[in-house]
Amino acid sequence: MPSTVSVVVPVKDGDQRLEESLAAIRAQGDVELIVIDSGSRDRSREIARAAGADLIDIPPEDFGHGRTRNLGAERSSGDLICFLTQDAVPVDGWLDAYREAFALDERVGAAFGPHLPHADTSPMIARELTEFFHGFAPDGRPAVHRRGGLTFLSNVNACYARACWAELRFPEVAYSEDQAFGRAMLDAGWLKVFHPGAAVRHAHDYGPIEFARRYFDEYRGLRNTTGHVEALQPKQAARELVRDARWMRAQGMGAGARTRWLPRAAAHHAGRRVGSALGSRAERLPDGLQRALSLEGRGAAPASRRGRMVPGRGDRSQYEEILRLCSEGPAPLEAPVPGMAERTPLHIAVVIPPFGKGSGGHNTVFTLIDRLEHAGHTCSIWMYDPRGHHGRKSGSALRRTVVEEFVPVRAPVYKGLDDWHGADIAVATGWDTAYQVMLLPHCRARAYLINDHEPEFFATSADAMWAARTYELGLYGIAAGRWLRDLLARRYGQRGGWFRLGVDHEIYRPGPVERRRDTVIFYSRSFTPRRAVPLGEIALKELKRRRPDVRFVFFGQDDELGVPFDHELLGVVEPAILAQRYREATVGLCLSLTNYSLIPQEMLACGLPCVDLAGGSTEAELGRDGGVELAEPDPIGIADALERVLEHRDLWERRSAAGIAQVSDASWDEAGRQVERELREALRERERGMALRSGEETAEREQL
Amino acid sequence: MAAEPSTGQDERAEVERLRARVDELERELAERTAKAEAAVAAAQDRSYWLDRTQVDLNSVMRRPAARAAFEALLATAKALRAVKRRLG
Repeated sequence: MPSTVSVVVPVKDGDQRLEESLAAIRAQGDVELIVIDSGSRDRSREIARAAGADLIDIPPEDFGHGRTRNLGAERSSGDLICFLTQDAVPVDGWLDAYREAFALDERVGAAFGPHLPHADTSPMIARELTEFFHGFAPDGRPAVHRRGGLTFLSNVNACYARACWAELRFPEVAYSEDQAFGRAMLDAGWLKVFHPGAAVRHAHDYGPIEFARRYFDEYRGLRNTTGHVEALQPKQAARELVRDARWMRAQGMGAGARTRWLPRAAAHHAGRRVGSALGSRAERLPDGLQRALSLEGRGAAPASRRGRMVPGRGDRSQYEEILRLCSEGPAPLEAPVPGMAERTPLHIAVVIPPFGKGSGGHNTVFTLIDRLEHAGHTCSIWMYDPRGHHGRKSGSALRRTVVEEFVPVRAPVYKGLDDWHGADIAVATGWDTAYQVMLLPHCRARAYLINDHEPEFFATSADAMWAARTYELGLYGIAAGRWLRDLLARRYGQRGGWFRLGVDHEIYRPGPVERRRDTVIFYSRSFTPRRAVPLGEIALKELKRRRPDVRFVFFGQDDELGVPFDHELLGVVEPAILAQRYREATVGLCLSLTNYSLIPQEMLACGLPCVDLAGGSTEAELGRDGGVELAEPDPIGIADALERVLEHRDLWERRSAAGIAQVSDASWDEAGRQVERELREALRERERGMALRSGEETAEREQL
Repeated sequence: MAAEPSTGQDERAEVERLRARVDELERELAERTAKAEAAVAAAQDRSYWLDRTQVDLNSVMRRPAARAAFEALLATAKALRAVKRRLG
């Protein structure tokens, strides 16, 4: 069906090629020709009238690449609307090619054609244009682009089906309205065609500086519409230069001409890289500088209407597993096998969060894995690291860190869960690993080794909420201590058992070291907020005021705290060195606002009384009459408690002896046995569930 | 009626036999898992420095020059061994 065609040409001071362009359009056949002039001060308007175009005048400030073309389309009447720039000159057969493109399929919404160089175009521009457009149709035949295909579209030379334009219209963006349209139309199900015959002669042959400024404009627009950020890529410029040299030779240019052109080509490519990179980062540049760099003289876009496009990064969210668990539910557990809970070895897969130097929670997990391995079980460790804390470190590098810096386990360490191959029991060890564990298939049971009440690690937040929910997921809980087990049962109804944190008595034991009478050793890991380091810090300041001769030793982190009194900073040290310092010191200060930890027990094992807060888990686990001097949670209360232990020799001796006795039976072997019992209990629960179901089924059968 | 006890006994025997078979399969699975995990751990220990330095020897050795260098290295090692044998 013959289509009527309108050709719209936006113009401003375009008399250089406008006459040639309009004449070439007229030569294509019967078309409606519309010129939109936005304040030309040259002969452009006169040329347009002479060519018989319908002339639309708009004020320069009303011009917008999308807005003005929409105006042209609104004022036109053709079934097909072609857009050309004022310096694009159609070649013979241009319009016929467009008609042919739209005849390919009724869903064709737009078509575009190649830009050919003019006879006097610089060789590097000519080469780029030729190669670029050749890539769209290497076989010389029209190419159809569908959803998911190439989105490129250029309004230098393009033609639109009126229905497609009316459905989508050009967005009012500062630049690249055609690219945005190209993407939108394919997304909407329209087809796009590149027709090599719909060619125009069009090349921007600026000097290197102008070129850099033009690319600044183009890539600034591209950033705004697509979020694209162009890398500087200096090697790319060098590669382009080599290709220019080859192309010039292939075009038959002599050595003299090539030598003349190559320096300019080098400047061209370098300017282009710089202009592109700067343009796509323009939002970081001040308005004045943007205006100076822009060939169009445009400054920063007004900050009002739209924000900038930010491209998506990666294909997964940091909280992907929570979303998956909410939408898909947990992976089904394997059917229980009778007697599985009593078997040895069990395959125990432990999913851990990323670790840092000196992490006590990880030390506990790895020590327990070691004891389970010694009990004959097969363990595997799975690092769940959605935030990329460990970067590109592989499983083998992580395993080396575990073995050398924590405990020499036998288990392999897998980075991520991609190689997951099932287990008798999958064990979560941190709140975010719990969601991952719920999604793991091929397990007979799932458990959750809980070192602390993790919602308290966060301010009111999604993390705090999700951490709390992990105790309601149905995982069998194995808590570090009775206090924590009771809290989880009371607050969340979580079922499960507990284990007592162990002490390595080979390292932490009293020794033949002269005990100082003036030293407080303080666990000052300030980046663990639950350690209440600021509270300890001002308590020690108060103590220093009362007893200027007291010495302080800080440990647990290498960074200085910046406190207003002298102290020795021990940092993160090996256990043997730490034990030695516990044996020398007079009293330890280790605060915990959540669950108790290894440190007070290890201090006590070295005969070092310690001060912790009254009313918390330490009091529940270690009592009032043991090695811990309990203090009210205020700096004066803590300073009082420290002073009591420093001052009263009999109190010190009583606490020291009670502490040693109190933790003498706390061992990792026993902790390992307790955890093993609980893991077996988690499996037994499944067996009981199976027996219950099977009993119900039998009863049902009998009833039937 | 005399056949019923014998059927019951057969069923019990079959159940026992199946239980024993399940136990055996479970044991085999556990052994295989233990061996596989131990093998992975051993491989991780061996490949530590390659992983640490992010060297992918497979992709390096795909290059003809690297392959040639490796062949030359093998030949040199072979020659050295031969010399060593002759001298020793």
